[in-house]
Amino acid sequence: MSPVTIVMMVLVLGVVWGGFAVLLFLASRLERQRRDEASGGGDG
Amino acid sequence: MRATEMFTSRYGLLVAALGMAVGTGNIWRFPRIAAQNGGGAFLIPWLLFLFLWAIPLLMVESAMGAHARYGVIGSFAKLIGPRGAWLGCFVAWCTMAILFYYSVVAGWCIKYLVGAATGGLAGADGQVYWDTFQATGWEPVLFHLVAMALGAGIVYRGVVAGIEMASKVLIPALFILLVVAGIRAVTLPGAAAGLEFLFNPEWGDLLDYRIWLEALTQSAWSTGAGWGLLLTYAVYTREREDIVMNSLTIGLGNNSASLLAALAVIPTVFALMPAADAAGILTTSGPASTGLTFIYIPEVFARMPGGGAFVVLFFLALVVAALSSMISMIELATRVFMDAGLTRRRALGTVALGGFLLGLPSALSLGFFVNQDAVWGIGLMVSGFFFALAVRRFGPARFRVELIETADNDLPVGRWFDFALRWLIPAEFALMLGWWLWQAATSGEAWWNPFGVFTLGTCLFQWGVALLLFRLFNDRIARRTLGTAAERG
Repeated sequence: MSPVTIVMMVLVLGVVWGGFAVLLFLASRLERQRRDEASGGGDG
Repeated sequence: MRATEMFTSRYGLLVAALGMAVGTGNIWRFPRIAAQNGGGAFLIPWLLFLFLWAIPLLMVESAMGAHARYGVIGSFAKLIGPRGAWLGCFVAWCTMAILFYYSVVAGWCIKYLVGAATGGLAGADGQVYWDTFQATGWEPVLFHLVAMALGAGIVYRGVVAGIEMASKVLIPALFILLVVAGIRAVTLPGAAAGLEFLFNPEWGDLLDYRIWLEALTQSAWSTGAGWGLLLTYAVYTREREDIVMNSLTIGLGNNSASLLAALAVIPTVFALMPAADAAGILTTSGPASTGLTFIYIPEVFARMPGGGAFVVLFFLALVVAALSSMISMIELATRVFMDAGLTRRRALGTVALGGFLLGLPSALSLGFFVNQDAVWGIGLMVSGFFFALAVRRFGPARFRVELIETADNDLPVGRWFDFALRWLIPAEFALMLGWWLWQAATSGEAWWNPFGVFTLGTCLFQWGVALLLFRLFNDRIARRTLGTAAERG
């Protein structure tokens, strides 16, 4: 494969798959944080 | 107070919304459109328009549904006043009209999955198999009925026990199927040629305006932005939801599925065919754009070791994607009838029976199918524009501050949203429509013919009739929608 192909693959898949994975991770973390806040847990 | 179900968690909402967005268009349409438009060069505008068309509209839909707590028609009427209900009517009708023939496509997918799983598809000539299936007449009708019954059955169980539960199974399963198919494809000897085709851009292609317009069209259709589907799901969201992050996740998740599908299809075709034939097959539309999916893929995939299992995997993914999108369309229509005063059961019955009956002409005639696909598929551009129009009337900055950037929003959206809704999306709409009008008018077919299969006249005629009726009955529809809900409290 040519270097341009490899760079494009990394860029496109990085933005789309990487962005999706990061957002899913952030969403689940914030959801957990909100649930903790709502239940008043976390600070004993 | 009106009892309304709620998605149980953000994950529940996200998988349902991803199910809505990821449909047959990701698996069936994206690899073909990417191949037809230069592969690598196409990916650049396709990615840009995700952020310049789809994601802002997804935010608008989320905010409108969560704010109004009505289906499409009620949400428009509540945002810009009862006189604007007809805009919502058009959006709702456009998506319902798509549901009628989408169920037919879902039926085709089920038929091919059954054929692949039982061995009926193995070794068959793709064109002969397709022609025989269509010639029976009753088989497309039967599978259309099966698809509609499956979709309605899921929606009948309700938002949580039906849509959310089904999406929690279907969507992870779909992504796993696509990942397995993608890994199998890129590890085939010779698959590198397909990757080269998909990712290596000819920079000169970016000067061709058609690539930009096809990319915008694909982005608009594939993400479900402007269909009113996310708006309908947003009716069932909890009070505290992060609209910006959810919209970004849905948009990027949808495009992730498209790329996985392209990685499963394009390298496989290149690995199994000489390069010149591979490019030809990838860009062939076939009858009703079915060429790649229903005629060539079963033939091509069958040539590789374990090809039979791969074909089953491919059509299973297609069925899952079709069903998860179909249930969102059924829910949209059901919600509209519920807002007008019907019970959920009666509303769903009306949609399922009406959907089956109104889908029959598409099941029986490919010409009618192509006509409806063109008229209402392109109508989605009008739907997207109507969302932008509603926000313009309300005031983009006010919409952003009051409905999106609430205390529950973790990611700020910024003022670019105002610019996108006030200028960018209307400009994109005008360009897309203008390009398409010009294409239709110069295609050679009598463009004015209102009864042509794929003419400008047929689109304008059918849109015109719908808009005229909705404009005429606007007050009555608005009163019925807002009044009924208000009477209930």
